[in-house]
Amino acid sequence: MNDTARHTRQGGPSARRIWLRNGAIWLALMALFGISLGSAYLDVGDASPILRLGIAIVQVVILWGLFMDLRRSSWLVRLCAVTGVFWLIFMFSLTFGDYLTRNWNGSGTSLAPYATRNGAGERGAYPQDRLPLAPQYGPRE
Amino acid sequence: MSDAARILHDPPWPSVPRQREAATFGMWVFLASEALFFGALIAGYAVYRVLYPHDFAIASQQTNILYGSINTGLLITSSFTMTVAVQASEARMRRLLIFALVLTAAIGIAFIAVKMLEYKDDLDKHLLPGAHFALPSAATRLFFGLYWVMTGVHAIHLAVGCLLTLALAWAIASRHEVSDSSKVSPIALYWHFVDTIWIILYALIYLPGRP
Repeated sequence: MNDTARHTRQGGPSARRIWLRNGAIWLALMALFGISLGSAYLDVGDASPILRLGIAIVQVVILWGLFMDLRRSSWLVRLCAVTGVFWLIFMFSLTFGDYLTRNWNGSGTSLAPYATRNGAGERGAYPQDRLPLAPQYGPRE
Repeated sequence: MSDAARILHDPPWPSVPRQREAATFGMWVFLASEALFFGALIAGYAVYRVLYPHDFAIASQQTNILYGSINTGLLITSSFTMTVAVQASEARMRRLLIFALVLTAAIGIAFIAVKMLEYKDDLDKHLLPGAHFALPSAATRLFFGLYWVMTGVHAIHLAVGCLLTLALAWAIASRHEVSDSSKVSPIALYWHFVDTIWIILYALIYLPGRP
């Protein structure tokens, strides 16, 4: 008697059921991947980075919840996974709290008062006396 | 050694469920640290993309979306087969488990092969930052510096995953490990995590700047 027949007789899932159940999740992930790829060639305006990252996050939630089985994991394991995500949120919040609000680096952000929307390419429009860390590119004396 | 004669648990664990829980928890602790490792690289990418959006869009157009998309499909499929392996392990379906593990590793190796083709294409197009870099803007070098580091480190992680998966399949096939080994789940978690990183990298690296 093979593995599948023995296990099915004992009341467990059959191999066919394992393939089908997880195949449905695989199809959902591939559909999201297709939407993400398609969005790269459609004009969805300024929303496109948010759309693609949003789709990626939905894919990750499906992966973590269903394939990595967080939905059935203990609270200790879930806490560990959530802690990793929280530290990521802290890191991104602190990093962008700096880069989006200071103008010393010539960043093209909407929050920096002297910023240009074209990025550092128009750094000339920027008051040089406000650049305490402005690099010196000339020859060394 | 048959399943009936297997060792129930390794010291210091008092029981098999505790051993499984510890293995899963330990892997998640490791994965949380890995999330921060890749997170730091992605944060660097995000900062520079905010600073140089136009240059990053130009650089992103130079990446090979065909290879990137094939690899995304491969990795999502490998996560599927790895999950089949985990559930076959829980159900003690030894043959299905070995088949799914070997299939997963084979898809992982296919990913690395496609990645090598992509790297060759990138080198032919002079997209390695250096003296003969193809793009004029300095910020595009930042993009490709991050591209090589992030995809390279990811490929190393995947290669490690392939080795672990093949070693586990061999151990189960040669009956050095039982079919419901507590090593299956942590290796699967690692594999899915590497897939997670790729899904994020795909959205960041390959898709921006397309017409």
